[in-house]
Amino acid sequence: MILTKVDYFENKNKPNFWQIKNVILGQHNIFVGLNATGKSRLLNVINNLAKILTQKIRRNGNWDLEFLKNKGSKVVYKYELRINNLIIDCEKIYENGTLILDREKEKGTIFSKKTNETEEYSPPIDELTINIRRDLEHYPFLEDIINWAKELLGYTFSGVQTNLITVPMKPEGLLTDLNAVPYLLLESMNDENLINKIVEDLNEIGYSVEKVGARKQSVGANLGEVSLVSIKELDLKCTTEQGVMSQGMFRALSLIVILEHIVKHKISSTIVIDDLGEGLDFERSSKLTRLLFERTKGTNIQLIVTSNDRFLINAVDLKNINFLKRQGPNVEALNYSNNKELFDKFILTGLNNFDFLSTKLDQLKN
Amino acid sequence: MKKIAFFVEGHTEKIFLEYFLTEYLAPTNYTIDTYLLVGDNFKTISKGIDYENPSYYFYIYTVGNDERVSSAILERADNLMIKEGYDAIIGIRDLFPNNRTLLNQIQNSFESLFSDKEFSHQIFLFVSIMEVEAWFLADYNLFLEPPVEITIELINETLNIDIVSDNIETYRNPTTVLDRIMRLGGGSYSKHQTEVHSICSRLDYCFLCFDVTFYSRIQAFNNFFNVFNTILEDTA
Repeated sequence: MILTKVDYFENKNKPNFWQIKNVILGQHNIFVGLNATGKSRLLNVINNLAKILTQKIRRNGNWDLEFLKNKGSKVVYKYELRINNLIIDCEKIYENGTLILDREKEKGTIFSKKTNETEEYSPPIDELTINIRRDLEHYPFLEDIINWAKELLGYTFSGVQTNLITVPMKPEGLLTDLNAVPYLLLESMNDENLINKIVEDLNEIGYSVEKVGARKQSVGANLGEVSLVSIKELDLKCTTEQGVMSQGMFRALSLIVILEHIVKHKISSTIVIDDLGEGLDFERSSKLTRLLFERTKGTNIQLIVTSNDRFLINAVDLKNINFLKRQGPNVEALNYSNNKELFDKFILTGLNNFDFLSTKLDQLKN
Repeated sequence: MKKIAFFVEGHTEKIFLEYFLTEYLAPTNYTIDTYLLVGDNFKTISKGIDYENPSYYFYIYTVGNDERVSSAILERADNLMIKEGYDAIIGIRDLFPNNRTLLNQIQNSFESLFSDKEFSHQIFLFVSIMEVEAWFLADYNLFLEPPVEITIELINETLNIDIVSDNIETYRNPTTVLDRIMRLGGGSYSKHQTEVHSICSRLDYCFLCFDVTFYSRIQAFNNFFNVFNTILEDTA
């Protein structure tokens, strides 16, 4: 299932009101905007929702979302959620325009796919219907949404550091944190095809790498062992250990390991990456983005990333980009779907995608 | 001494321009410097002959990669025209992969980017239809001589095109047509630099520039050639 539309606001009628409107998504998405426009905040809106739905956190917020069940089907879910003071004020789900869940505070109705009847129910005021009413046959739409939330993986590319290691406490932790990648790689070392693919990808984005590896290493008497990665570059006689690896290379390697793992195991997933390309040189940031797009093409993986890297932005199709513009607390997304005429005119100028942020846009509108 | 900057999409246009300028302007004293966009900056690729007082300075900026000619010009136009005192900036790009019906809109959109500049009349964009290889195809004599050495009849019969009288600009993908013709003579064409050099070194520029029969067959080159001459005359 992929997320196709996002509108969100918080703190209505308060000084800290903030909203974002008109975000339209496809399979591959890049959010671009000046600093402090709301790129990372938008990703938090999406990440937080997934964490709320999977009961990892409790937060207030007001989401209006649309999902496409899968590429082949035409099932569209519209999901409205209002949480204020950690109370569920409103929850609505529409399937292809038909209201199938309608809940306000402690009263609600829900449509059963099994009985074809709408039933009344009384949820606790602070619990989501999606968490208390699960049933595969009666309410498969709730499963679709909860599965989307479970499969969402959120990363901050710039947060990956060679000297920062997350030790995964649970098996699923291998995928949820880029800093846990040394452990994922260690578990994958017997999978020759996967390792070869990782090496191939690294070469594709411009690193001349012969081998990648991971091994347990003691980090002190009281700290025990941690997993660390190493690579063998073609033009060096020795291996490059994680501690001396460049941040850019380590970040790219970490993301590629996760990517190839997800692709190989056909995991349907939404991958959310903040600051993609940060720390990489201009050529590799473009190539990494192209690689991500290429490797996920035709899969059930949705990519949602933010970047301000002009070379990365110039390397992708303009139709994959949402440009964020902020006026005070109001953030608006400009994209091909909601501004087709403007985008078409811009394409004809022959300018780089990055130049969309320039003031010349106003001239084009006229 | 006059200064003219060219901004081109890739090495194909750059190599073509180098040969064209050399053939067309010799024996005038001129110098050609070439640059390649690497990241945010243009790196010097070659420096021309250092004449004491050349009539013309040509600067060829190859944009390449994912960068666009329009953006490269827009970013540097103020500096080149106002501070550096250039006399003209000429952009050359392919129409491909756009539809040919968009040609006028592409030209108009480009011009609108500079409409508020005092030097707007000194900035030009020429769009080859559909690719700059169409300009190579116009000189069909290229294929009759070594190393290709094939006949017009063979091209006509095998590829079902009339390379002598067709309007070359109607070809959707001139690069493919060029490759298919080269293959008839045992070669190939895939935009590789050595292939571009091989072709551009053998093009008959006199034929290309002055044979009026070409004018309706490669209108884009004709437009470029006429404007280029006007620039030279205006600034000489």
